[in-house]
Amino acid sequence: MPKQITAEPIRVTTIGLDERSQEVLRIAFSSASKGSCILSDDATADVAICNMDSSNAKALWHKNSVLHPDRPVVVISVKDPCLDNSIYVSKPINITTLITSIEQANHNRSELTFSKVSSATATHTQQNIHSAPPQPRMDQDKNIVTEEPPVPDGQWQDESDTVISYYSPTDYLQGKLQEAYILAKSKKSATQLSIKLKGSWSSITLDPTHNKVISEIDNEALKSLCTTPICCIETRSKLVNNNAFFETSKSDKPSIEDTNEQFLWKIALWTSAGRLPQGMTPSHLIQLKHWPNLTRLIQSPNDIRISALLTEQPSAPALIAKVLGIPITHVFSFYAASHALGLTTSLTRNSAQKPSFNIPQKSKHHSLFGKILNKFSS
Amino acid sequence: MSGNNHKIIFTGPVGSGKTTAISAISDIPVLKTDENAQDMTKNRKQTTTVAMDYGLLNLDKGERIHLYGTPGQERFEFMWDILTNGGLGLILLLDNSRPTPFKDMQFFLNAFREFINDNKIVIGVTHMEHNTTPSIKTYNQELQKCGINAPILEIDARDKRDIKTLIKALLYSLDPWLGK
Repeated sequence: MPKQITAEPIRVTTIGLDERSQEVLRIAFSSASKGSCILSDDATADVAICNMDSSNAKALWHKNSVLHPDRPVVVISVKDPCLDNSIYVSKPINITTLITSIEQANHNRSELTFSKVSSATATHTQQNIHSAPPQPRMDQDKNIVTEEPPVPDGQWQDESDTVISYYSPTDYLQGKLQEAYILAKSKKSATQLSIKLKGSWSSITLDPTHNKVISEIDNEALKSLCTTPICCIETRSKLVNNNAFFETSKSDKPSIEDTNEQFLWKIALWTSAGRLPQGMTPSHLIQLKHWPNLTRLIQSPNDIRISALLTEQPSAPALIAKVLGIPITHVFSFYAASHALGLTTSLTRNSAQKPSFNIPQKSKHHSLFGKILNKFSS
Repeated sequence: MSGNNHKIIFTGPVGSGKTTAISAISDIPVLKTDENAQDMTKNRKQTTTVAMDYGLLNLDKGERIHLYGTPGQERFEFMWDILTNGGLGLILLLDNSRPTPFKDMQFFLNAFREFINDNKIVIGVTHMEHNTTPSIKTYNQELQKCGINAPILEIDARDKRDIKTLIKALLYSLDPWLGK
């Protein structure tokens, strides 16, 4: 007789819960979950429960995001902290809701599908704080926007039906670098920011006077650092005089040289990773002061098309994505990079006056232009 | 065939890289009408275009885009109207090593004002690798003073990718629906 196959219990670890609460949870799992969930150690857990009301919850959350980027988290709190890669369960905890959420989180993890689920109690909001960008957001009430690609080309989900990821540049290396740049500029000097990578220090030297940035960190590593919360990166900075700067540029260590503009553009682009800087909304009207110098900047998807539209007239990221038929995350990344270079203006929307947007006309040479583009793409 | 009359025009002062830019993307060897430079031009290059340059982009189903380069010297201004007739768009190349690139820009914007009003223009700034000023930002400020909103990109006229990007910027400015 074949052996009956039983589902493995979901291994659950806790973050920010005291021993007493853990014990309560252990009892609840053994009775209410009928063995579907068990408490386990951090290393082998499938799902984590994070108590966001604990004293150092934010730091623990960051640590968990970095150490276990693929592990889903069920967040418990009195108020929704709006975190990515999480399912929120409000306090006081209803154990059935908690177990349903854990099962859903585990299911999402296994299936890697993040579609609508039926839990009526777990909730989410659009914003997130200190999010871990590379992770797709799991959402119980909304459709999902992920970075690659969040919405297939040509399809658009209405803004009200789309989950947007937000971030603050100051929570990442971008903030640190911009800070270093401002300091160097004010002191008419160069700033050297050293970053500890795999046990050794590598430097990024910013010299606003000579419009140069020399980085000993290659682009691949830098891109990865850009989406790591700054609290997880060990840095130190110092002012260096220009002579020292040029010594750095002559050192034997391989380095990449950029202009300030090139460097900041790529940092902002990589930090955004398809997310929108906090303070902006998808319906906020923006305009480009002028075209970015796209031939000398790291390419961003659909950058030429977005530039063409945004220099012509003010528009909202949501509308741009809709008109161009592109993922909204492309617009967010482009906005983040352009904004970092000071190329964008933000327009306040007068509630009494609806913003007018002139839908661009298709050229009579549309087909011909398409052929030229095809030729250039081949 | 209707496509036979479509053209993109490259203009700009002497030495800005028009012939080189057309050569970078043309499907045929560029037909040049160079002469030994005789006047002030000689200070900048040994030969210069006296009539026009001609290149070609071959597209699907036999359609073609003609690439015309105007002579850079002002005394050939009478030819510019003829060359722009039926043009899809204008590519203005400016040489950042020249003493007064903004005056060059204003001159060409005025000369082609009528065409620009009806079509689109993109501007490529060459020779920036050794002449970093004026910057692209300053060019943009000057362009806005002229009441024109157009892409200004730093380019190397020898680099095919740069010229392609310039033309893509022109095409998307003309028709944002492209690619949808």
